[in-house]
Amino acid sequence: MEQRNVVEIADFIARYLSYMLGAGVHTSRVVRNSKRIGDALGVDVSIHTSQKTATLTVKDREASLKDTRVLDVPVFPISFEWNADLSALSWAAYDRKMTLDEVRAKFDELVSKPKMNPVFVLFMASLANASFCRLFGGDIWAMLVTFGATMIGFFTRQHLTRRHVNHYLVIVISAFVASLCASTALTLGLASAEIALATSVLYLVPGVPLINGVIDITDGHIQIGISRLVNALMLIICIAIGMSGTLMLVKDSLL
Amino acid sequence: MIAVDIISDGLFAAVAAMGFGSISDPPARAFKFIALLAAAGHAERYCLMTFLDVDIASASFVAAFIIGAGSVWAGKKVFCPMTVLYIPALLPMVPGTYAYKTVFSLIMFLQEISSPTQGSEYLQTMIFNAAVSFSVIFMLAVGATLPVFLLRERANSMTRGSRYI
Amino acid sequence: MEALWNSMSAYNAATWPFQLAFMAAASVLTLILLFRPCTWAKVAMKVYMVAVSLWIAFVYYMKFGSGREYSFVLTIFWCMMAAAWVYDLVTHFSSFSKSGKYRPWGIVMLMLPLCYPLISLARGLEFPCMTTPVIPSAVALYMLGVLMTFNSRINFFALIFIFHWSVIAVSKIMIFNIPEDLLLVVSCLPAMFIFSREAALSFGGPCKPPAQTISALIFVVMALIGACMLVQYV
Repeated sequence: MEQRNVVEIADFIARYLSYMLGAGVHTSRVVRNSKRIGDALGVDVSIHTSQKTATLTVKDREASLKDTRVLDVPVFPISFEWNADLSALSWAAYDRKMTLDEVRAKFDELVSKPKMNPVFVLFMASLANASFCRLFGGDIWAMLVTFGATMIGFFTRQHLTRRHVNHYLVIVISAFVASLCASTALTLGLASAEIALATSVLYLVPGVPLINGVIDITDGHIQIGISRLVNALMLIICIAIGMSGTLMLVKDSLL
Repeated sequence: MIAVDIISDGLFAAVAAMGFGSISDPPARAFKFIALLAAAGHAERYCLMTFLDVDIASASFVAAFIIGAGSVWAGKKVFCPMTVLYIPALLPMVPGTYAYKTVFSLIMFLQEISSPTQGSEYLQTMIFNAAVSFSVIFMLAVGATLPVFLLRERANSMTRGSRYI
Repeated sequence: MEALWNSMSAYNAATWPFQLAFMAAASVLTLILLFRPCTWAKVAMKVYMVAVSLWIAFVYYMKFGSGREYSFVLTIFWCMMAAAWVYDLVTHFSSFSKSGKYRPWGIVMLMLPLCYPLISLARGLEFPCMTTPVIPSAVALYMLGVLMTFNSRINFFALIFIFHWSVIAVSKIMIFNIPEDLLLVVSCLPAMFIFSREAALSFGGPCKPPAQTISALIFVVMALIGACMLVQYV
């Protein structure tokens, strides 16, 4: 193996790594999969990760050729599909002894798979929040109001995200809009109006980073685990800010 | 009547899990198992809490363990890593009302900051709710990860030989 | 319930000339857009939408509805509706050009707000204490009619707000006994289905899941909502 090959392999693994980290896969899986691909291609891989960057060293086994680099972790929307497919790719590369070109072609094919249709997600999320409202003891009117409020909030979020508004602002605004719409339930004089108000913002709760953070910590990647938890906490604070805007406006009625 | 309650609880949990899961773009083949696991886990938590008076954190832990163990079995069938299945399935168990009450009592505390009795009451409510929501989330994640520690080899080779790439 | 009808009759008695002016402006603008579409008419229509939303927010709810509980929440809601139209005005999003597809339906819907007073009269109510075309639900219905008639690119924000309003309105049918609002709900659910499906299909590039699944999901959701309302109503 020549230095050129090592650099090529490092290029590919860097891309693989950044896609997986960016799409919200927990760290130990990313490290394990990258090492497995390195194994398949005949190199040793060592990785250090943090929230926004990662350091990668690729080392040839026989002639000690090395390539080390620091790479930026891009921000992708969370994708479980990439998680599943790219993990499967690492096993396929390992079991079928694929060459670098084959692995790379497969990788490009996998990451260009179509995404979820946003309107489908809009309806699913609204439906989910409505059933969430039911789980918390809301009646049918609270469910319907939550459905409408979530739809407005989630559409606002999708729209603002598409326009590349700052992530935190998006959360604040959509939490505010959703909870304000849900507060219209108060006018109906229902006992469950407050449940509708409470559930209307829950579609924003960053469940994936929260759980990933705890998984990372239990796996021993404590630094990045805490980073993820802090990140999730920031988002929760944003939800709280948006919702407290509504509560301030209508709080006389909640006293 | 009890059966209807349990089934409807599971049903709504399944819808919630699929909906919240779809935000994170899961593979289409995973949906049915996400629904199944979420329904099983949430219905189980409901039973523990209503009929056996277990506290919410322990009940969530047991439910999360069941979901985690189920995802080992289901993950092998659809070639998905465990996290793809159990994270969406755990989402309906995130303690939303406690989180809401934490925020609400924080705001009310700030409003009543000048009156010591009411202010400290709200502060107490806030700490109570924050403690519950934090421990439930922690228990959920730990409970679901436990099967990974018990079945290391099997849990880490879920996507081996996948038919879907 | 008493409070609602009291506020409604006070509102009608005090503002009927303004209401007539709003109706005249709406019909003129609609006719211009139908037969001689031009840019200023589109802008004027959006300005009209903003004005009528603010009218409902401040005059109907804030001034006359203040006796009712939480009426200020609805003021805020209608301000958001106005904000949706201001946003549309600023970004020039909806084009108000006709696509012809659901045209007849749209025109029927444009007529429906005029049925509000007729239904009230048929129920034996008398002038000031009755519904008019410039009450919130009738205004929402008119907006829906405009979206339906000129549907080549629609203001989706406004559509979802109207949908949310119809949910609020249908619960009022039971609580406040205004069967007129049934019109809004009956026209809103199919409109929501049609527009959502078009929005889903017009999304560029391939998507998962397949188009039929999405259409089926939207249909099922709308049918479920309709069924929920029906069950509660009966």
